[in-house]
Amino acid sequence: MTAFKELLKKEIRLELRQKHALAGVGMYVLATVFVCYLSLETLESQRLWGGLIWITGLFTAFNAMQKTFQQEGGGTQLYLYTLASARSVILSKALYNALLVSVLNTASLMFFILFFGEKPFADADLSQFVLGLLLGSTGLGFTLTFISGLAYKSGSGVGLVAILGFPVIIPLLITIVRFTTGALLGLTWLENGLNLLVLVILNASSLLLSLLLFPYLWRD
Amino acid sequence: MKKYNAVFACLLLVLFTNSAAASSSLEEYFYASGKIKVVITVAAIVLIGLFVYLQRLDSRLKKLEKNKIEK
Amino acid sequence: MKLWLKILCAVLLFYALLSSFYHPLAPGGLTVDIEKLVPGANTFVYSGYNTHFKDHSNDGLQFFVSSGSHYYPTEIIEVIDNNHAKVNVVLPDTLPSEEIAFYANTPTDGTVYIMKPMDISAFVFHQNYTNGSVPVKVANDQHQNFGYPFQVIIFESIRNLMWHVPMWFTMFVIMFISFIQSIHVLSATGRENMLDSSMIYVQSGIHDRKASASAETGLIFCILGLITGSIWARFTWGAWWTNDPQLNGAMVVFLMYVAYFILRNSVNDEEKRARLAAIFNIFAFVLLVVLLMVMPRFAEGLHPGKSGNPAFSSYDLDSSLRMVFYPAVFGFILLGYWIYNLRLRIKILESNEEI
Repeated sequence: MTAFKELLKKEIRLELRQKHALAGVGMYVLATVFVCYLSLETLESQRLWGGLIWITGLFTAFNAMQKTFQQEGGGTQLYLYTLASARSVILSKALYNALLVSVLNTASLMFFILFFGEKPFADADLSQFVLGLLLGSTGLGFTLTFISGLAYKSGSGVGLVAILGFPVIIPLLITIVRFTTGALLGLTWLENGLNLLVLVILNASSLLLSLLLFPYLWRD
Repeated sequence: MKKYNAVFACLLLVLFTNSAAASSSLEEYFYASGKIKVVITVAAIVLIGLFVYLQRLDSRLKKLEKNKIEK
Repeated sequence: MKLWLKILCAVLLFYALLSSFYHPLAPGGLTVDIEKLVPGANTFVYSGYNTHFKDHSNDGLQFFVSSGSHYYPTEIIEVIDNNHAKVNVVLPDTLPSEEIAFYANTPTDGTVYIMKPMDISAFVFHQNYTNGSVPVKVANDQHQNFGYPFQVIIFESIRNLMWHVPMWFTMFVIMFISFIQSIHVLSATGRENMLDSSMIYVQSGIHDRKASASAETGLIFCILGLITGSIWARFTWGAWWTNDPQLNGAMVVFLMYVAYFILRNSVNDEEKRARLAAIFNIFAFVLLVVLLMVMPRFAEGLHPGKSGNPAFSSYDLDSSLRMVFYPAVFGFILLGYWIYNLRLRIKILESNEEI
């Protein structure tokens, strides 16, 4: 457990030290939302909001996640391997990435409101929306961390993350878009509950599978 | 694989020449006699699909046989 | 694979696929050539499908027009053939309900009905007004011959049930084999205390070949299911692709297993390939279960038996269909297993060749 805490601290410290990388992803988010604004100008339908927020979220997550294993050289990983258990490594990375994606998605939501206004939130259920934002981000973080680990170990570079990641992420994406749109349209908890349930199932299964399978991935 | 493409092209040709070009007559063709033609098409695709796959397995085996004889 | 299993496979498929074309569709009401009903006399031609109007024109052929639960008798003007009859109905100017249906009854076909949107603006509606309606005495309300259920829009294409749906059952079973073999791969590599490392290698190699051979066979059935489903959808729902959770799920499953093979091809080291592919395969199978078993229950779609039950309810799949459908499913599963077996043996021969 202490190893996990230290590893999490290490991830955060590493991120803060490389401010240019974080700034790069931030700029990517801003640019994406700005391009959306330039091409659409107005965005009033809640359905489009739900879709666009999560398409942006998806690509941001892919972008932020690519370096998660790549940035450590083989030497560092060998060192980590001897020091900590595989489960604490994947848990720290998954939680850290979930946090990072949540922060980035919150930022992208801010930019969306900045450019398109807050009109679609007129009859939204805000607590549902925030919960959706969090669960969607954590789901993206958990799944993509694991997939980028898999792609990294296969040794064929960044391209494989997209190939393996897209099909695996689509179920989450469908559900989260549906849930967020429901929240924006002001559905009650009961009406939107089934989407929430699927979302929780997907989150839990991707985290559990990462914990179960990562030890087999980590050893070489 | 080229010969399979040719087979498929022929099949599609037969299908579409029977049903003429326009989409509405495509519907007319398939809706005729209680949509039984949909079933025939589906059944044909299942059988052709399995046939093509088995044919591929067959050609793989043939290659193995040839190697064995050469040795 | 045992010989008796192969023979069982052949017998089941022969029975199911022949019956899928052999049995007729149960009788049903097709259409009436009338758009507007008026108080007084209405004359129209009633078209049935696989009905026996002519055979029973003298014994027990009856037509009714119903409004809610009240039935108005008709006068048969002319029976044209077994599927067409010209009838006349006299309606009062006040009807009890706006739900209009056209019934036909013969001793062989039982009762068939047609619901069709009607212009009924000429009537006054009053709930308790039952003038002119009669209590119905029908000769027989169930058809006598064996036949597949008649459903409007689907018609004869209900026979696709025996061709399209077994593809998905087979894919699921074969992918399950792949999943189990992937677990075996990981447990073989996970045995730390196994002293002879070459033993681990051989073990995981066998399971890896089984996993990839079955994934490949499953993918073939997935592709066949997608194509046949797309064609069926085009001529019942009107589009090659519709936004239905099962359709989208099937597409994602297809993409996942294509990704599985891309992953396999991108790793050269055999032991590593086995391990990574097994890890991805387990991940993919769990998502497959979520996609095809869990998510369709929670979303509305066009496939039958939605909201709480992804399979067929008793209404959708009656006993005549079950008698053919289950043999078809088991036959195709056995066929899939047989093909997987062949693929595996070729794979093993090929790998011997390389050494």
